[in-house]
Amino acid sequence: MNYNMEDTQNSAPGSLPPSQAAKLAPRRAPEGQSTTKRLQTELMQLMCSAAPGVSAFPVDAGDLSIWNATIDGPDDTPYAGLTFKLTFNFPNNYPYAAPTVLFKTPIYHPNVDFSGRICLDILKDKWTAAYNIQTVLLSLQSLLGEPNNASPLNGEAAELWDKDPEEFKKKVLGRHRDVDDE
Amino acid sequence: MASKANRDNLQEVEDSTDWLNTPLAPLAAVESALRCQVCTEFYTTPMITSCSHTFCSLCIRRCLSIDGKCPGCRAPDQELKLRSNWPLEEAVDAFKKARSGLLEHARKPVIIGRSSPKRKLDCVQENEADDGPRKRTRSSSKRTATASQQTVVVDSEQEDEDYIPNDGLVACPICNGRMTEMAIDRHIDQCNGIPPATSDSRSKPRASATFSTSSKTFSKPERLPHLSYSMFKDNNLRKKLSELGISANGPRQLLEKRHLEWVSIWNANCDSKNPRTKFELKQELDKWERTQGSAWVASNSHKPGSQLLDKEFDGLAWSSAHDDSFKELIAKARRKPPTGSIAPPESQSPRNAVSDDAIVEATPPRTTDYQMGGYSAPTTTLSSTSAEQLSGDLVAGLKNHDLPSRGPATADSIANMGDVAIRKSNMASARPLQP
Ligand SMILES: [Zn+2]
Ligand SMILES: [Zn+2]
Ligand SMILES: [Zn+2]
Repeated sequence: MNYNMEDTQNSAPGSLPPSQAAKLAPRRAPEGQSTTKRLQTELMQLMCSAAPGVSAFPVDAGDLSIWNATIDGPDDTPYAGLTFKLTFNFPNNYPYAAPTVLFKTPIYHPNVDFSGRICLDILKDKWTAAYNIQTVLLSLQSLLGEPNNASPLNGEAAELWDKDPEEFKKKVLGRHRDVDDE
Repeated sequence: MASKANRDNLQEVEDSTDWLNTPLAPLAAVESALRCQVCTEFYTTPMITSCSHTFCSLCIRRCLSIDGKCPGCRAPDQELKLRSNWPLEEAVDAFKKARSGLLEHARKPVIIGRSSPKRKLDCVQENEADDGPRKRTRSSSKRTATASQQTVVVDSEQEDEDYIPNDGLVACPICNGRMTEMAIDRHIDQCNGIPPATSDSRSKPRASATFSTSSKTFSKPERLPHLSYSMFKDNNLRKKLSELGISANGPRQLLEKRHLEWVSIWNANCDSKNPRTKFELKQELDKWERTQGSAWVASNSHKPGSQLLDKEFDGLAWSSAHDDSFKELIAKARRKPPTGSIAPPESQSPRNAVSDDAIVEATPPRTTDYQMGGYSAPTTTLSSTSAEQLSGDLVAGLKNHDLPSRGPATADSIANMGDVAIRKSNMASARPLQP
């Protein structure tokens, strides 16, 4: 059970000093580098045939390392009708390492803390290189309807989910608000 | 230079969505099935795992060297157990060869009367003349879509590919240089990847599609063993790297990662039936060093995902390392029809624009039939398959209190996932071509 996020990859970005190591890489043009290639392909496929209820797009041209994404709350869940924004940060060695994914839209959920950090196994020890943006989004979407209450980041939410669905729904609606893109 | 890089880049973005909105839309699923889930490129030297998943040799070797698990199902596996998937490789080669011609064909508004048998013959000949004896390397993205290739058919017998000069010499498996049998052993020991000078301009045949090449009679370079790094002091490890002919500079962790990557690259090359030169392999390592390598060094752990712990994302380095023809990519996507039901977020959404600069010449979309074919989004057969599998697995995992636990339900679902994958890929490839 992991209540603190210290040792997860979803630690808040920016809380640590810039990596010295990243500077080892000379700034040179790519030659069909595999991470770029993969993200380009993912973008193409998301644009042409995204699964219903999810979307993702790079934040700005020329940098495929940061993406915005959205998830529509699934029907028949307390999140129905709500849309959630997220950010994806891709490491240089993606897909061999997982992206860092954060909820930007405030969300009341047993497995998401108040900074938007997510406790989800496939973003941590169960990540594999065969996952992609879309599979992550779909997994998160199903997490909305099926929280893992055994290891909550938000204990109250975990409790209310089981004990008081109405109150839970109220909290969800109370917390939800649209966020601007920075 | 820059524009060339862009163009190459753009071509590399060729993917299965290219078939959408053409009469050959079902080929999107075929193409998806021929692409690796890890790198999303056409399989390069596909290898089959113990759990019967397939990935490029390099991709799966990298994955296994990270966590010893199949990326498709997380079953434990070992590099030693990987086996070549020759028929798949053959299918990939054939498809790649047919691709640009087929695509051009598919995008032509009128296609009647263009492919008489005579014409076909001409094309094959033209192709041979175009390509010459030196085949495109498998990773190359250069697909020159000349008009003559429109009618190219998947033709297994192209003489030039198997071209072995009848010169009484043998080819070095590393650099392909030709020399006498006497000379070869000594040469291999010190081969730097550059073939010794020779007067024969056809001395570098790059066999590609068929498996009957006689190069098999030459001994391939041997696979490198993995090292248990804890047994090596810094100096010994550096010495080891020097012996292998790769850089021995940098912090300890980089040395280990570099060695690991080199072993993956090297051994994947050993799997290949068209081995690249050591020189090319070193270029590949350089590429890794400039991009992924840095991310690994930032990590204190071999666990995937954890490297972000001690690293703030260096966006600048990333974006220069991953410089890309982003705008062209978007432009290209715009030219394609959306088939999903979700627009990309934000104002940049290219999707509204899609229908505007519609693909006028293209025949009306038949993607509908295609989408109703029992499996979901056409372009992502593989990824949507895995989406289902994996989110199914996720749910199973969650119900068995996911985190580090690996309950039996996960094993079950893993077994199911395998079945689903097989059924699905059967469906995809058994599907008749005509929409
Ligand atoms: Zn691959
Ligand atoms: Zn597997
Ligand atoms: Zn040689």
